[in-house]
Amino acid sequence: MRGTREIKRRIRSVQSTQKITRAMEMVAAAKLRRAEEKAQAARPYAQSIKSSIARILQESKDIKHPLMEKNDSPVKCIVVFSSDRGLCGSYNTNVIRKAAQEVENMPLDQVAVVAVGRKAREYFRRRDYNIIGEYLDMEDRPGLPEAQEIGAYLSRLYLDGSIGEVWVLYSEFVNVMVNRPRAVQLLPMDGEKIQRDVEEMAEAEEEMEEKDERVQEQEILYRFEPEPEFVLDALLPRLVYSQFYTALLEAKASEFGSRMTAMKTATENAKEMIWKLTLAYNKARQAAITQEILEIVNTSEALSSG
Amino acid sequence: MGTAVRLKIVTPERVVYDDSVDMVVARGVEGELGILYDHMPMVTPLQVSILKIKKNNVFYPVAISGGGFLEVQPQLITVLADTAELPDEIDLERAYAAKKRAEERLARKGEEGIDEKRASIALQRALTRIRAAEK
Repeated sequence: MRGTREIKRRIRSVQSTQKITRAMEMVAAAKLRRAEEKAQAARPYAQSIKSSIARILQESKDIKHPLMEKNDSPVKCIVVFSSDRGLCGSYNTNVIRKAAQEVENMPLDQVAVVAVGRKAREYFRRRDYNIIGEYLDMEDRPGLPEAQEIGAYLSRLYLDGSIGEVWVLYSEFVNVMVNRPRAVQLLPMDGEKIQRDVEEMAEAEEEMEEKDERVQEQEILYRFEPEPEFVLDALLPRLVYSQFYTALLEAKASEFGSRMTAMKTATENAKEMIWKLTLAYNKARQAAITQEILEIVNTSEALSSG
Repeated sequence: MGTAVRLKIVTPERVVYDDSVDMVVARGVEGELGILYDHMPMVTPLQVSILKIKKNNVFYPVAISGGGFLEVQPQLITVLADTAELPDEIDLERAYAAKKRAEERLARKGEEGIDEKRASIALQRALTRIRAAEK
């Protein structure tokens, strides 16, 4: 009976692991739902502010703004959104790999890293990158103040010429199973790209047959109060932090999605393992019984023949 | 009727208001604006102030407590605010506490570690919330 007891203990151990992974799966599912709602709620603002800016750019073609002008700094700043904890499959690996590719072959002193989440910080610190900002334990916080802070901080560094480019690295949430690591350039801001984005958005909206008056309004002239430059100066910083906020929410949703999927797989693996172990346990038990019967039969035979 | 205009108040975190209204009165950086249907398209920054919505001849206040922008299109008015609350969403107690804090800080202005500009914005924000909630 020694073998069976061993197997029984293993079954119990796998069962308790399974309980934990199942609980984690459910927690991640609940958090995912909240993160998705938040991401949904943040979308109208991000779209509106982009289209406002696009309209200003369209009407005052020669308008200039320091956040849209290149500066001379060779330093590339990457803002990497990762998680604080593991157990979420390949989530961190993917986004960090993408980030590492962005700064591959660049001298260390020309790269500045802002790490959101422990995993990104650890990775880049181990490789001696210059970490100019870190935001940890953001998991359950709303995140908007942090997004504003990051936005203001990096805009300031950009404007005084300490950094020449700002990129955001985050995982775009596609669905629970899939997220896509993305690299988006934030600064200097590309006016043409904003306009293209807005056009795409308008087209997508039309396809959804949610036409409001966006099409005909193209020719209407806007009035800016006060001058367009002033309005733009107030709008652009908001676009910057709104984009950080979007990245943050997408990253969160992706993290929870990954964790949920990973934990689901783990739970299923545990189930399979329990099944196999149970089978082995039954076999061992059966073998032990057969063994015992054999022994009894042998003994009694030996006795009766003697 | 053809005289109603759609008003959307959006913050980075949520859509605060989205409905058709008769008129919007807002305080831009250049002064008060009353906007009706078919207004000329324009964009202007808003002060930290109360925005008034007129609907069925009644004015409803909305606290634009974080400042923001107003964009007018002929049939759509969009307010992009940093923060905004409808009166029944405002926590009056908190607003009063914030007002007190800001006033105390302003009273000690000139001292080290006191950011006068920030304090006065905080005061403005608290007052806007209080006024909107008590209207």
